[in-house]
Amino acid sequence: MEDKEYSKIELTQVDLTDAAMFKEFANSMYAQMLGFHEPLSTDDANSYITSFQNSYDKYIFAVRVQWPKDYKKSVVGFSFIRNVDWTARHAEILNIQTDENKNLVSPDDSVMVADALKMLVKYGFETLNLEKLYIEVFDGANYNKTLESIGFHVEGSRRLSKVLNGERVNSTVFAILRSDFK
Amino acid sequence: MYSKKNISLVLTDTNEWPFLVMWANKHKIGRFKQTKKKVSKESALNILQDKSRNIFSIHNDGSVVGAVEIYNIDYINRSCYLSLIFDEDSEFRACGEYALGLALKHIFCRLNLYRVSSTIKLSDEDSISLFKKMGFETELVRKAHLYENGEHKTILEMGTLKPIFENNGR
Repeated sequence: MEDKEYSKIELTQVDLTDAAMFKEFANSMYAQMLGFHEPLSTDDANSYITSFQNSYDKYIFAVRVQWPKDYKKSVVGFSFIRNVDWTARHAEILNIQTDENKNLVSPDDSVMVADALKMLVKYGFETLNLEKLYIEVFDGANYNKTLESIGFHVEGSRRLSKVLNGERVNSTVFAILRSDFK
Repeated sequence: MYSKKNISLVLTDTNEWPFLVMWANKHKIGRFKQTKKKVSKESALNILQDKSRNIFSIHNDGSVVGAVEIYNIDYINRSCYLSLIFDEDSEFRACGEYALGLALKHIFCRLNLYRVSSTIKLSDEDSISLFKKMGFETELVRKAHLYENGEHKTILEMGTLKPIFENNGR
């Protein structure tokens, strides 16, 4: 897949104006990755986004990209830092981005997605001052090279832990300590 | 209720909130997952009404000696986490295997789940041996994942699946 060049990529706050885009993601085939198992209405999307604003253990970001020759920034995905354990100082991260055809893009396949993931990790360590971040990756998703380049290591695999599209799949958990962040 | 020998698991319902308050607020506070704050009557009732959790008291010869917590029940992916808590190490040695077996029976035969995991401190060799004996395998080694007594510790996440439970003839 050809990686489209972009001028700038940012992780920004999610506004209620992004609810429609979020609803598209939540109602797509990637809904299960976000933990949604039923179609989301616009009100549901608004409530979901609002729930992050008053929460201390989960954060949501819109991944906004500026393309050359465009003035507006497009939302191409959403990133999450969730399940924050402030005592042990660790959290789970999740990054979901799609291409123009709404296909999920893995960071190993796209510099843009890899950059967004690195920004998310940087935020977790440098802004939230966490000590450890982890991410669960399902079989078939290409994350290994990007995660290893950032400094992640494999903690192990959960056997047949999730049902995706009607099939049980394994998942691998990668983690990074602050001291390993490159 | 599940029972084997003189050991039984009794499901804690909302009427038994004092048991939960007592257990959660004992000196080993925080042994129940996600209940790091002191548990009040109100929060105990919320926990007991939470459909993603089942809490059992473990009885040995009529006395309560421990608790089993089944939590993060995910009915879509048919998975859950399990925590086994005993007041005394001696009770763990006497009842742990039977209590765990009864809990697995509830998870696989009553709740019809497919997968169960448990998080265990790397230093807790007795628990690791017990869970291995009962068909669990170490799936994750999580460094610096628990903060206790001023230091980060490594925990193991061990898991087992329903076909393994069935093949073990449980």
